[in-house]
Amino acid sequence: MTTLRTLAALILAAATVFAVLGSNAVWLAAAATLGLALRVALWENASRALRPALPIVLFAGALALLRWVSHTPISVLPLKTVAVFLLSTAAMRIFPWTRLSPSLDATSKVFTPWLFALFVRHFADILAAEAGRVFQARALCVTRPYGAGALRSLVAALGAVFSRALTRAERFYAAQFLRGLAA
Amino acid sequence: MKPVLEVEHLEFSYDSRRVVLHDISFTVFEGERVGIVGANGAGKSTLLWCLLRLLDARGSVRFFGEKLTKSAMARIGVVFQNPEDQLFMPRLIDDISLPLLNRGVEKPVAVERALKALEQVRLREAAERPASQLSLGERKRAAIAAALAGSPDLLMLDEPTAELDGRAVRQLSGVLRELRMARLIASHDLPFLKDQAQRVFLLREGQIIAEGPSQQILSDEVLLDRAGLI
Repeated sequence: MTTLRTLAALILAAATVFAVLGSNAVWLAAAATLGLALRVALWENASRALRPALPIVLFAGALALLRWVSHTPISVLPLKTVAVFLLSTAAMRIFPWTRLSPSLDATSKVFTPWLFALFVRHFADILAAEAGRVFQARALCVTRPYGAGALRSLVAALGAVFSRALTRAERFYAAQFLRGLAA
Repeated sequence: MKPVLEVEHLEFSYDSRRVVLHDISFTVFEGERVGIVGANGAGKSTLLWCLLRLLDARGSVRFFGEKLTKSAMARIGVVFQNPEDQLFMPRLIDDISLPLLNRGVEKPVAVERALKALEQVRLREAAERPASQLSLGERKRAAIAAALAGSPDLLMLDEPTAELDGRAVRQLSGVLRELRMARLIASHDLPFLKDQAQRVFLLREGQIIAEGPSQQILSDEVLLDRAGLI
């Protein structure tokens, strides 16, 4: 099972790299659809699977909107952003972190990339938790999706997620720096 | 007693208009338990960050008689307010042993020391579990274990009881009471500091407004009111 999960995660990681490098809209759309299907299948319920993707989708939408407003052709960048997010998070979810951890040696060549992947995974978890809290708080205040202040509160919530992300990143870096793990 | 931490005329400001820390001077001696107490925003965490040179402050800070060098750093254990900032590995044992491996300690020795540290905080049985599956109280103790694994001579704790329930605070107090190294604890939890610290500094708007034995300072209601703590 560990081998299968590792293999599946590596295939998804490779697909993520292709999505980063690729520029074919059809392939990117297929990759995003696959990532979406995997998220729904791997998470406990659809709501928990899709909610963390909302800020990414909004960010990608804002990118597309800015290009449309400035009368420039809409690139594949928004689609790429969504596809990379969905594929990489699915890969992170599938990868058997706990099972592989004991077998890795600190002197091995894969240890540094492994540590980097763990940093990314941990920070993505922190970000998802912070985003969850912010949007939960917003949902408690804004009960009607198109009512007064709905858009303003959405913008404020997104801003709060970014500022919290910065604060948490600063603390995480400081903690790891003091443990001798950061440059 | 030898001084482990000497702070002289420490000043810090984010911009020229607002001084966050003003002329802070104090010394922590070997094995001493010192508390930094102040209301929210008094500058407790900023002070710890400045001591560790995570923020660039003016003034002199000496650990074990020298500036914060790598060798001095190895003798300091730091416990952050949020254990999620410190623990990120798939298993607790990996989290605790990682800084030791990073310093070149052999894996069997690092694992043994990590297990001993987990034993000290009564989390030996959780060694194979990820920190994310533990309760907040357990995660705080795990963060202490991560600091203890390096056998520090000075342990610095930032708001160790924040968000903990009564039982978790008691368990944490029990663990800390058994330690022998010098401790610097930043907190606004007065009963906890009365129990844990021998000496406290009362911080208000970035200035030390009182200093003395914890039982005396933390029972002075006029002082505590001035510091915004009651």
